[in-house]
Amino acid sequence: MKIKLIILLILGSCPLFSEDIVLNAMKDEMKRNISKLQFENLNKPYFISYSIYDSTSYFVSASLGSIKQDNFYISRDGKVDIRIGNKDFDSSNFISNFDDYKPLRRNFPIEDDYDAIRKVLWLLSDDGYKAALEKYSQKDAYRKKKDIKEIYGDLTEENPVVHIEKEPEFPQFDFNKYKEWVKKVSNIFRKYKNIQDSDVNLNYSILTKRFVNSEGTFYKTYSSQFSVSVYIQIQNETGYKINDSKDFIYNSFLSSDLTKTEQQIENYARTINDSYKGEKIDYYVGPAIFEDDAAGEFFNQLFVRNISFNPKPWAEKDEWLKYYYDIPKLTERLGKRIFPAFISVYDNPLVSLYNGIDLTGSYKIDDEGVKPEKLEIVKKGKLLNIYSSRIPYKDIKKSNAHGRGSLYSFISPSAGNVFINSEKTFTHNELIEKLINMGKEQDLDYVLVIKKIGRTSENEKLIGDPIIAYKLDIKTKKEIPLDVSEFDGIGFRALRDIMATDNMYLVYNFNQKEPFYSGNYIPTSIICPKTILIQEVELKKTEKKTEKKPYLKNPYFN
Amino acid sequence: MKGILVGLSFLLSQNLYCEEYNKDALLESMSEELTRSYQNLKNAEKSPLYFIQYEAWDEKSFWISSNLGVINNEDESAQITLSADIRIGNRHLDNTHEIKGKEGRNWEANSKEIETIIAPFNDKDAIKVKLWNLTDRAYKDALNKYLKVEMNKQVTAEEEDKSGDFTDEKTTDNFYERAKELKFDKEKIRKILKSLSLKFKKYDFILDSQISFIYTNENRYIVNSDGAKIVTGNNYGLISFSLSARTTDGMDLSRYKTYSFDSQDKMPTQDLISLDIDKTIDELKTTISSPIQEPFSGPAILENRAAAVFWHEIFGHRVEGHRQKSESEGQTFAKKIGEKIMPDFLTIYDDPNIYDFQGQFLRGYYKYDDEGVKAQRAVLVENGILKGFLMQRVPLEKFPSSNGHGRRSEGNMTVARQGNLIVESKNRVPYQKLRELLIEEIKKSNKPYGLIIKDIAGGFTITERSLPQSYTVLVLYALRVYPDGRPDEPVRGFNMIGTPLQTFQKIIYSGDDEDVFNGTCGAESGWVPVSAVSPSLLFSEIETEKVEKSNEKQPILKPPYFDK
Repeated sequence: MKIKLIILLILGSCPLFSEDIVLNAMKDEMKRNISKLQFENLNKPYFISYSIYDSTSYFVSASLGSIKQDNFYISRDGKVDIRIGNKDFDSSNFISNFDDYKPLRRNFPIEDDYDAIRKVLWLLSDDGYKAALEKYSQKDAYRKKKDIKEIYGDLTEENPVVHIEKEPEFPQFDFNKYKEWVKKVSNIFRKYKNIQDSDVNLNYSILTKRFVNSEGTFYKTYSSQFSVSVYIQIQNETGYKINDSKDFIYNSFLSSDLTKTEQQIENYARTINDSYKGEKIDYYVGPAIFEDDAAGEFFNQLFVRNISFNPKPWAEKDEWLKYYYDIPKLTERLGKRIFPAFISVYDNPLVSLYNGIDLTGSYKIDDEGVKPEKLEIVKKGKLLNIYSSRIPYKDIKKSNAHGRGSLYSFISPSAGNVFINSEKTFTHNELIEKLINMGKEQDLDYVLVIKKIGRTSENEKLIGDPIIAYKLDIKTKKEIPLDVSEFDGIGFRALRDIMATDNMYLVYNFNQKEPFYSGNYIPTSIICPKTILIQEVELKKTEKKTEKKPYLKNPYFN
Repeated sequence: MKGILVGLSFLLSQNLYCEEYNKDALLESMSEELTRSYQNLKNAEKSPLYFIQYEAWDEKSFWISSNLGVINNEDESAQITLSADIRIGNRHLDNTHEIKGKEGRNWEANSKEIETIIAPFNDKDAIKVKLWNLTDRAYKDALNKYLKVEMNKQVTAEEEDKSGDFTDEKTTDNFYERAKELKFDKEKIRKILKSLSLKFKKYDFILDSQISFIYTNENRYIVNSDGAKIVTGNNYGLISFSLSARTTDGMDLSRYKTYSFDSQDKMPTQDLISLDIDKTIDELKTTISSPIQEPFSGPAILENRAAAVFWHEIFGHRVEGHRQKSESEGQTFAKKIGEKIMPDFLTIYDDPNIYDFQGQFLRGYYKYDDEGVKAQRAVLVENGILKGFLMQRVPLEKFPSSNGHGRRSEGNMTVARQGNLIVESKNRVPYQKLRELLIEEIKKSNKPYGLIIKDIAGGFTITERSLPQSYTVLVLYALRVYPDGRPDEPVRGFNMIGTPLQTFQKIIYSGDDEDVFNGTCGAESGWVPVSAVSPSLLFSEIETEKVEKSNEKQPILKPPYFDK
């Protein structure tokens, strides 16, 4: 029954745009509102956009070989953007109270019905218009109070775009096969007694996005995402509790190699299990290697996030903004060297595969209806461009088609597929040799190999602390797991401190957290060298407190 | 012949009991891990663990909603949630003891929130590993809290009620009765909802409307170190519709109606709901153009269903046992046992064992509470005299035992809650007579009019000592009744307010028209299904206040399908 329902829903949304009831309702309600929505003596809206997303998803979760959740979710939600003023100065990008951190959003009927869809848009538009009128006057008062002279505008000039995708034939998803696979994979953890708790979640979702704006742009796109996420909890020998997760994300379940994913989960489980007994570290200053996920996150947290999300919105309580918005920190370095000269970076959302591997950050049109092209970001170490949406900033007068945003968040500039290329490459073994030699030169007993770092940083640090890290003994060349530790003062300097990179590249697919606190996640890919050698990192013993070990033994291993 | 049949069915049910009982992986794993945890943890530290309980909520639910003739949303889920309750110390003083004084003002100090986890289905090993983790965290938290309690007790003033933290009784029942999941014809339900929701489309003054169907099959599992092993379940079906409008002066008005049932054959018919929708739309339409009720004091009738909510909010919450001993509570009734607190024609009790009232299913029906205590009738007021309280396993000086009212939803500690609150009156008159008596009261009190409160959204009552001990009943639909025979006039924009002891004394008659309020009540221990039954009540005097307005203007444009 459930399966039938999902198939019906997908089929129900397949006609071309001229027959698409939802899109037609959006366009007609748009026309009515842009021409008629006005309070006597008050300004009319000059810009309106509607976004409606249909989502059909299947979620199954298992622990130690047993299913714990097995659910379908079908939803249709939408948001509205209504602006008063003009492109140079309008009611957007201003936060005067807590509710302003998220867009106006509502649930829509899951069935295609012209009147029912228009009714929800009518209510959203009415709320949006009234809110925009007030916001415009508040923003204007703020500008005057702060005597702000540097006004860069609120909406770029863009040509209208029509982009209607033909619905792809989504292959039949064998629910039972994947359910059985999740059970099987979650059973792997029965072998690893140091792991206290584990869950394996599988999610398959199909997303249809529809968008119209009052400038004549409209689009309809289809996408899907298949992901497997593994969650673990371990308390190491010293008593530190570590909660960690690892994601495997693809554009389609057909792209996933279940046997390979199973092996990777097995490796992850073994590695985490083995990290139970780690060697303490007092203070380390010296070279380090970041490998695999750690390399991907190194580039994301230090670089990609810090050239995204610009500009930050104005806020009445400016000092609070840092708690609710992830403010980028590299945007003022345009034209400056941020990487060594052998590193260049570009973003190209138009490609969907790299060496046969899915790139989850791909898209044909951004969420504001701007078509992307290949974007050169760093050339020979120098920052040439940052991501931009339709919010102008200083010399940025045009969007570079990186306006991205879920329904829970305002659109902000965000990465698609980030290609980080290096001209100074070596084999992995050569890099290890280099690392050891650097350690020898500095009279160190060991050097660092970091394989996984936290996805989020704490205490205003720029980068998450190590989750899986090793001391590499210079004499024996043996890797010894490291006890819980913290980076001490890693800054943007680390980007320039990249000494060399692997000649192998990895695809790091992940879901980027949006900058607004209320935000969701944006599928993103980083294609970067598999290993990077950094000249110097500082690592110290963690300041976190240990926790008492469990009173009883794990019943399964008892 | 009858005797043989009875005997046979008894044997059959016994066999069924044993078979299901023995193959229930969830129950077995809870029971085995509880035994292991209790044996090994009871003396693991200097402060002894003296009681442990696991509770699991095995819930399956689905929800369909419709708006303007189309399906708005549809959802289905199945999940088992687990929680662990651990008591450190002894029955006189344990980790659940209230923290008082300055420390007690910390939000977390007396929080009733507890951790829950989602359990795997049907695999004992997997369930036990989750329970082991949960128990370890709960045990450490309990030890930590107990140390704080011990010191707080020494540095703060002595409590008035010294009856301890946990009752002496042992809950040792073994009971297995899972509620079977009901099968509904979903296609038929979709069709009915779509047809009914289309009715709202004809009216341009309706801002928003929805009709929904929600079904939950809930089976609760309780095992504890006293020896209780209980599996008990309920089915909860709910159809509800809601509609809203906005007045020109910026007041948001809404109406809703719910229908509760626990089996397919008790579902309301489409015709019945359809008639109710028509009636509610008419009433909302007349309310939009009705005058705002200025603050008023005078005679009023609270109609049966609204009166049932009134009792639930204003009386029921104040006779919850834990409120009689908490030093932060108003304790309105704590010292009034044996005293007259309301007119002597009123008797009130709470009995979760009552399955229905005049054929109407009661949502507050259950067999065992969340502490494994068998549900019992709690006599609260007899002929106007306060007789008792709703009790969980937290004793009071004169009430050392639970009467099976310890309730909660997932993620919260148990407190005493209502089940089926039943109000009986000896001063019953037919409704028409009650109306005549209202007019007499209006004349007697020289008021220009009285009020009939026909529908309410609910209400709330403040029981904390730091705030006024008042209540508020949120009125949705009411009429002014004029003594000179003018037609009744709808009014809007007011709440009924007051303090309980004073208000009860103003009840002078009741109708003979008892009706049921079925709802879901939220309090410190989460959301629990409840019912209340009451006749209409005539008050010699009530007080009202104006409601807060949204102050939003009406939509600028008409609904799109009216703008052609």
